[in-house]
Amino acid sequence: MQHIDSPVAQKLWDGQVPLRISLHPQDASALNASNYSCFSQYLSVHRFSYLPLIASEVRRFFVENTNLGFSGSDAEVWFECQGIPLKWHYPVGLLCDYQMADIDHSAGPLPWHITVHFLNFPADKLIRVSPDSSIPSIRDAFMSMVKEADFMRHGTIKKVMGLSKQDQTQLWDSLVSHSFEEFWHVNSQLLVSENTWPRYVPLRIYVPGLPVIQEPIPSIDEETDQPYTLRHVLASVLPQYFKPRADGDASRRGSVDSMKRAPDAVALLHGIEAPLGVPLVWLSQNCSYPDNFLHIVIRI
Amino acid sequence: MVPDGDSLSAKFQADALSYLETSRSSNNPWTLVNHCQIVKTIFNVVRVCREETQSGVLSQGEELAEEMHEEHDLGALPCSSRDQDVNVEFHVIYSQTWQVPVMYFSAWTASGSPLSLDELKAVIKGGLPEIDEQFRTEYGMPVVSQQDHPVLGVPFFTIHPCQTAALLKELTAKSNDPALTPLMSWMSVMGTVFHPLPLINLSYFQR
Repeated sequence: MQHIDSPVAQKLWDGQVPLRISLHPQDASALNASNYSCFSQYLSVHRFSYLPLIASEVRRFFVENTNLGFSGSDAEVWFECQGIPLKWHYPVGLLCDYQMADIDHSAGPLPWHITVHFLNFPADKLIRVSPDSSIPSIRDAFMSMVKEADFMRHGTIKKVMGLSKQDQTQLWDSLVSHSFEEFWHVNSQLLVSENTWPRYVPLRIYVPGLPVIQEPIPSIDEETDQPYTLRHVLASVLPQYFKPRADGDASRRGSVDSMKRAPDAVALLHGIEAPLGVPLVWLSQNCSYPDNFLHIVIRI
Repeated sequence: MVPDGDSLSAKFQADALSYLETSRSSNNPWTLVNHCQIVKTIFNVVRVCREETQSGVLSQGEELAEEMHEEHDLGALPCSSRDQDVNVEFHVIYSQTWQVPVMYFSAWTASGSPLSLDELKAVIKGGLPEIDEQFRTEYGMPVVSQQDHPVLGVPFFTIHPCQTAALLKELTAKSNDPALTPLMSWMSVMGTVFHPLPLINLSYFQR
């Protein structure tokens, strides 16, 4: 199962989200920012990146343009969208997909408009960022996911622990510097070897308003030796939203049988609707986030 | 298809139910929330500066805590400006990934603001004060770190589960008591880390 579809992986790697970042009015007045309502920062951020990696750039922008009186650490910077704090340990692409899927808090058209805060870090809703520097916290969170993914696939975390110290560092550093070749040089060592199947597929499913679903999902049907498709998995985990089989041909449309059943919900991955017939294990190899998880958001 | 988690968490649930039965004899038993989560809340733990009163409160549970609360109201305790009631919650959740129980814990002041790890350590007596966020497991993971609670989605502290399976194997290999489930062995280890937790009725083991 080693084969990587490089053009697909490269395209996903280069995917970006256009962001419009505004300063929160309360923070602005508390920190004596001038003309803050005239300034929004426009940034294009890689979907595979993380918010703490743009914190210092955002801080500089508002300090320079609005004379924001903030001298604290980047660890105090946090972001929200429509009043909901954004989890900094989620990749930006996942945060964006989640917001787009949430009907009650739909983010509207792009650029994705989010708000930056410099005060009152919501410690009851967001994991604290280590005050020394925000980078080790996010690197730890990232490596923790990589190890969890390894454990799910192989039942041990020997693949990650078997990496040289330099390769372990390179995995994160290449994400920060956005170097596709350097990342894949290390990441390809973490995937399952040729002609073997992962024990379980590292997969997290996000339905707005519900706890995150993370279950041990096998990659193949032991009885038939056929790989499970995304539809198999979603119909099993979320039977209320996904049918076990695709709808029949057009001639059946309108029949009582199909009218009774609502259409499938939408599985969002990297900003697009994931085709439900694709084998899960192919998705996992080629379309996982750099933390080696598939993060799939359900739009109902 | 059926995710493998169903059969695994069924085993956890069976162990949890038998554990709950055991904990019922203490005056602050655990509660089963769903098939993979048991929960215990310790209310009115008083955070004070006086060591001896604090450990008394914590090891004897709620009733004593209320007595302490009265004493607290009388203003008898030193450094009263920093004294606050805190609620400590312990959640044991079966991790589908690591296939072991994981302890999630957090504490809040009466006004709802969560305690930092250092503040928590002043409340929890036991093995926890010796470990901090710099400590790493042999797999390079922080021993104690904040993670999103799998059900509530808000930050809780947790002890990284990457070595729990090995620990459980060692514990259960030494025991030939069929009533001693892996969950119960693990809970007794956790009891040494979290002193306010009357995890196990010791008389159970002295029969």
